[in-house]
Amino acid sequence: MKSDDPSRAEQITASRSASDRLDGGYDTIVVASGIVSIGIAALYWVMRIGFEDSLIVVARPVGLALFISSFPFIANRGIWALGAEEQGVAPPWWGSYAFLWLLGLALTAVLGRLVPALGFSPLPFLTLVGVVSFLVIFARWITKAPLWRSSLVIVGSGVFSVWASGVVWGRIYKNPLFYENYILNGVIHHDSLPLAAIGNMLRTYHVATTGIDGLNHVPYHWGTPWLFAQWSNLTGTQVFDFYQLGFPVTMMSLFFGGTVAFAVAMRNRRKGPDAGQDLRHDFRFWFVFLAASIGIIPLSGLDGMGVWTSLLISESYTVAVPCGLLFLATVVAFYDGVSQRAGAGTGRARAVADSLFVLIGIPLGIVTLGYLKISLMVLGFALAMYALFRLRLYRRPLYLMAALLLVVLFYYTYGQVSLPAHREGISPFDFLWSFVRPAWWPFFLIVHLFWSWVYIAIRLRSEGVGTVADLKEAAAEQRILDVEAVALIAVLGIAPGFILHIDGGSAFYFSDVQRWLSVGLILSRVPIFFAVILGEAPPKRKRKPRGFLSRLDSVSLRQVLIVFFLLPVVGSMVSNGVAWPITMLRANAATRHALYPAAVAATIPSGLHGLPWLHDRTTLDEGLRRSPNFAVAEALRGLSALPASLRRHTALFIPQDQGAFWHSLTRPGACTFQPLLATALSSIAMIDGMPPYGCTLSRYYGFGSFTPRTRPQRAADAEPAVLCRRAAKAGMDRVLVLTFDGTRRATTTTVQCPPKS
Amino acid sequence: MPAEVIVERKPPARDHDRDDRATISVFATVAASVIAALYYAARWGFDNPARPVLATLGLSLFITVAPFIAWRLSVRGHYDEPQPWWRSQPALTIAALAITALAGMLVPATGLNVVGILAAIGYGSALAALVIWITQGSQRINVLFMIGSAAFAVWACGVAWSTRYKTPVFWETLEYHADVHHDPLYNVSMANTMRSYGVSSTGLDGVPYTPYHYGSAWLNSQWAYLAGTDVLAFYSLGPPVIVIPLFFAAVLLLAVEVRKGWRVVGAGSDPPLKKDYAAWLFFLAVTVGVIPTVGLDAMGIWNLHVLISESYVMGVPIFLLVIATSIAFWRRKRSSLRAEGLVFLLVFAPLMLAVTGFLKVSLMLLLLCAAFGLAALGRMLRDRLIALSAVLCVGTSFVTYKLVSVAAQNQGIVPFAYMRYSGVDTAWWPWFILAHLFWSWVYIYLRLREEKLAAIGAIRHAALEGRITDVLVVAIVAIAGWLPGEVIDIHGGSAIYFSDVQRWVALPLLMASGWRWVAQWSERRRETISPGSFRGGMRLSDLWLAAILIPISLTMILNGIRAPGTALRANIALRRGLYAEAGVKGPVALRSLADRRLLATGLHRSPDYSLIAALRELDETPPAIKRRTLLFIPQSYVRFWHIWTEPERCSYVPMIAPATSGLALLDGMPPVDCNLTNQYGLTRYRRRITPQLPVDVTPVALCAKAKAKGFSRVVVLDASVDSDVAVRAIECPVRISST
Repeated sequence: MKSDDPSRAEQITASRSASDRLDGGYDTIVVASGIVSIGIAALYWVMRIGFEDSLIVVARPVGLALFISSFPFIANRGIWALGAEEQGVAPPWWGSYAFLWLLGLALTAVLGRLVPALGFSPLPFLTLVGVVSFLVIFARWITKAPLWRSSLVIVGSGVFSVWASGVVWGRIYKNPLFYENYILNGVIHHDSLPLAAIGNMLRTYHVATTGIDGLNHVPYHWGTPWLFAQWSNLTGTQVFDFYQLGFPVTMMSLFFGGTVAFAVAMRNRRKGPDAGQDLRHDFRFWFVFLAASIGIIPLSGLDGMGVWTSLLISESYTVAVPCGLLFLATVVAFYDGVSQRAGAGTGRARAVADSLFVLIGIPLGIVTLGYLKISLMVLGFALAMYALFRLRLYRRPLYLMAALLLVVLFYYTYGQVSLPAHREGISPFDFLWSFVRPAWWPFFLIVHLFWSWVYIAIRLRSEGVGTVADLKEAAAEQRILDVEAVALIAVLGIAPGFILHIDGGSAFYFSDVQRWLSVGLILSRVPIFFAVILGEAPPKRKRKPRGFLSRLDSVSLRQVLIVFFLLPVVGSMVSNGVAWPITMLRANAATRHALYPAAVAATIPSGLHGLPWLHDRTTLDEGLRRSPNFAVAEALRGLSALPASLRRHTALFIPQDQGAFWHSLTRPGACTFQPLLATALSSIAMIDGMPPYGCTLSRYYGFGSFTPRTRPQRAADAEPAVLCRRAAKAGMDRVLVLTFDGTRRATTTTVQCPPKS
Repeated sequence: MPAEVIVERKPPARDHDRDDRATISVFATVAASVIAALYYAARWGFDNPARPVLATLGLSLFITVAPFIAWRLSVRGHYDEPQPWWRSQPALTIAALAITALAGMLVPATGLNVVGILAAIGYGSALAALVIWITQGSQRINVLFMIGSAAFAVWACGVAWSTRYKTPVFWETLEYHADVHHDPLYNVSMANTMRSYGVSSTGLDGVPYTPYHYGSAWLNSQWAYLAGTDVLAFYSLGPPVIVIPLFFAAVLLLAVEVRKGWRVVGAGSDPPLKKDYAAWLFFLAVTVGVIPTVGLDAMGIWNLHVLISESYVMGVPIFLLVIATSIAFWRRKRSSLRAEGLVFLLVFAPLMLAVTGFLKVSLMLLLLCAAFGLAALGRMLRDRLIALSAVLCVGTSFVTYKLVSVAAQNQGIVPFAYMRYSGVDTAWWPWFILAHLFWSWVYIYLRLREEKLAAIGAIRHAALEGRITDVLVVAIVAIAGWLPGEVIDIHGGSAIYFSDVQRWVALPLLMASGWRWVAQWSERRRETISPGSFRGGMRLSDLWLAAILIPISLTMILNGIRAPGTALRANIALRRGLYAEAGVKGPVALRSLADRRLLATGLHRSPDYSLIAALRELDETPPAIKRRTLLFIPQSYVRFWHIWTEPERCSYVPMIAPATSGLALLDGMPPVDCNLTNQYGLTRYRRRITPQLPVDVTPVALCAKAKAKGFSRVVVLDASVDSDVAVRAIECPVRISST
């Protein structure tokens, strides 16, 4: 990847103020990310009006989010102020915005991990830093461009936050009223339960397990549960609740901000005319961003091609993708630094840092991705290996050692994070069979990999590559490494779904990665993108025609065509944009409606129109208390309030005859997920908590790590001695037995086991 | 198209015009023959006389191929001389069609059936055209072309027969479980009442005139006379064998007429039609579809409707032939205006508007719009003769509209009605106009680009100068066709018959221009990139093109086999059902499904056989008796009135009787509890407000009712004690005879 026109680029770059060059568009990311976080939190608060709805609780993740998004900016400026810029031509990789964002994430995670040891949360301090930084950045930012441009970004970010909320909360996976929905009728999606359960087990016992029958290790990419557990420590919330609020507030901005930051990093490194340009300068940038995020054809068409815009329901993917992109941007920054310093003298400290980055940073970064999302690790590993051979880095011992270390770590991590049940063997075209109607198969590759095709086509065209010979030449000259990377990720990403059966359409998490990589790269070349698609705009006339007919005559066919195609595209974007938020609001209204007494509810219109009448706190509270799962939910949640030190050597037992618990999830086939609810809500591991005998067990979600029931539970199995024996196996000496009486009132009996002899 | 191209001229050395027309004839011959053969094959094992099939095929060839021979003979030796419009092939094709209709009218009037002569001319012409054609060009290309035409015919008749509207075993399907759509029954009931009583009516309670574009019903009934079969059977035979080849031949003929004008621009470089791959690619893409059928349906692009609506499939070729004839007229008018000009403007134009109106009212309105749009833009109305013609056209169209327009179809102003009620998902609305009119946009864009018109002003000037008349025609038909469905709620999604017309106007123009664009594109490529070695020089644009063409080609293949597959499966399902009725248990091999005895046994044991057979037998009644007879089926005869179990179909049940028996009903409105539709001409009758009483069914009461409607005989079809169905005739004044 080389600069398009280095001499001119340098002139332009030099003409900008040093401060502006440093901001380079990142300030807009901080502002937009902050507004998105605030917007999502505000919507959460609004959607919980009438229920328990503390502003403080909502504000905590906002503070964390503001810190995370502004940290790289202030750290970057700090490094610049300390003179790092002057040490060399290029900023060091560790001073890059991308790396600093990752560092910010890691820092908050570490602080969260320290909370139990310290006994207090540094969140107030982080919030203070985050809020002040955000306000300072915002104040500087707003003065640097016309007000209407800033206003558009602010309003756009606010609207975008509504869309993003709709995507996360528009389905039964996550929801501001997730807990209430469980209480009401048990109709909640099971995916959040094992994740919250693992998060809780990591938090309580420091073991990656769902904890449904002791603490058997469950191989899974448990990076996000761990991360959210630490952030739960910081924000003082339950992991179960953090998934509903903390995740959207902190991670939506990371996902989209990370993608944009990747684009800005890729743009600025070229030092082209647009390097360091304010992101408000060219709204085509945001148009492409929105088009890729929201979709330019209706959702039904996208879904029909297995392009799911609701991917944000997967928190592991939502965290892993921006981390992957930011990590890639860090590696590219490192590569640029090394390339520019080649032949020149390098300081010893920097040489050590560079070597450590190659030897430890890159392998560790890739395997960390594996803990976040296994697909990202696999693709990252493949990309690293490709780079090793493509750039002939294997000739250098340092890189060769790093590669060997990577292979070993990859092998080890794969075993740690890959669920054996997911390895279901070869199943040709499995993803197509499952999610794409056969009639549309011929178009699948075009549509599913659309943005990759677009990027590849545009880049090749902008490089003047017209023939296969040109292509070979460009590749030989390493002018199109970015294109090679996109092609590699696209091909390798699409392959698993074509070859293997991966449960629940998870092959998508391989095949979709190319979208964000290519979108990031397209965003880094927006002017070229439009120049290639639309051609050069005709020169503007000096004199504007007067009169309607003359003006009409002067409208070019090109303009007509642009409008003609833009209308349906924008129409679809608007339609897609409102679809999820409306679904989310309808679901919210439906829950409230169901909690109201039938006689009152009958007088209130259903759907969105009823919302203004459905926020009476007393009525909703009474509705919850009347609901079938109220006692179960409150009892389990009450257990999570026990001191961590107590929970750590305590197990939970709920006898199988307790129908109030074992039948509280009501979706078809939900019996298998029932025990996950206990560990997700109580933060205590169960013993003898496998689903009832006769229940069809899921093969996934770590159930394979536990022994299935071979007979119904007997009275003898609930004897204290038996329970203690089971608890002892898991390293615990205390058992809480949870039962419910006829009126569904919960009773907790403590069995204190005798000390080991 | 540029003004200077619309001139007749001496054919250059490499003129393919005559060869192209022979190609069209061969295409039509192959298509008609394949469809006829498939019809015959689909009826293996059933009552399957060859004569109607051969006669229909002969008629088809007479209409599509004989005009080519006539044209060829007429221009022989003086091809380079200006040709009058009435000697153009499109005009001759219209004339051939008219001759067959007149010959059909002769049959009941004189008893003389000249189908033998017409068929002989048709077969002879087809043979002559084949001989002429096969001697031209590469034999490999010729064979490939014939195979391609045959495959296309399989798709086309597959579409027509893949629904419950038409099938080669329509009678048998009706007799088995009556699982047929009511639309053909409606059309055939009108055709039958025209045959029996000389009135266009559905004949549900006497024969009051029913406004409808019944031209195709009338035409089919005339062809049925010639083919020697009943109209209901002919509806599944005639339109596929005669009209489908005519439909596509008209498309090709218009393409050739347009190409004839374009040659001045691309002199000498155009390939013959049969080797014009760009043209055929457009042909297949537009007809079969480049995206899956579900996607086309989702955008309201209904390929099925094109070929199952006999009025549309009949009307469009006439529409296109009229445009092609107009091009021929205009070419000559530029040089001189003679007597035939008067005939064209004052007779042909108004008459054809009326004809298209009787065939499909939408086509008449669009033709009128296009003509007026062009006349207004070209300031032609200043010419007194043209102004007079315009007045005549408007007058004729107005009268025709009054006669054929069904008021109930106009369900009032409803914005975006077609999008809302025709299965177009709301989310796809923004894309609708782009996708629905796709081929028109493609043509308009490519032509404007070709003319290097980069601004609205330039386009306006070009339009006024007559340089883009073709673009204007496409645009007018597209926009004028799209608007009705978006403004008015036209019942049953019939707005498609407005909005789909643009596709068939754009197609011939795309076919005519495809080679030119390909040549220009190749030229540009040669200028921009110098070719290298085979591998190294392979252009990426070719790879991109291949990446797009591969899924499109696969989709076209899948779209192409889907409809014939459905038709085949339905045929097999019926046979298996009849085998089961005949007592055959277990699965039966495909090869064994044509056992005549078993099929006949199964048919006789079928639930609705005796009823339908009795009705069909009534169609044998001599015409003179039919003319004064009405059929009465008492409401107590549940087997008839509940032949369809779905309550929402009760409105259409009585149409079965006139469609199968050729007799109009007396007191045949649906039961009092039926939720009556206001479509299908039912508003022409008085709806039943009280249940039918015993006093209503006495011979005296029936005769009184019949007499009031001008009839003197009533046939009563009812349940009997000893058999399924009993038929008795009542001569008025009352005299009863039983059968």
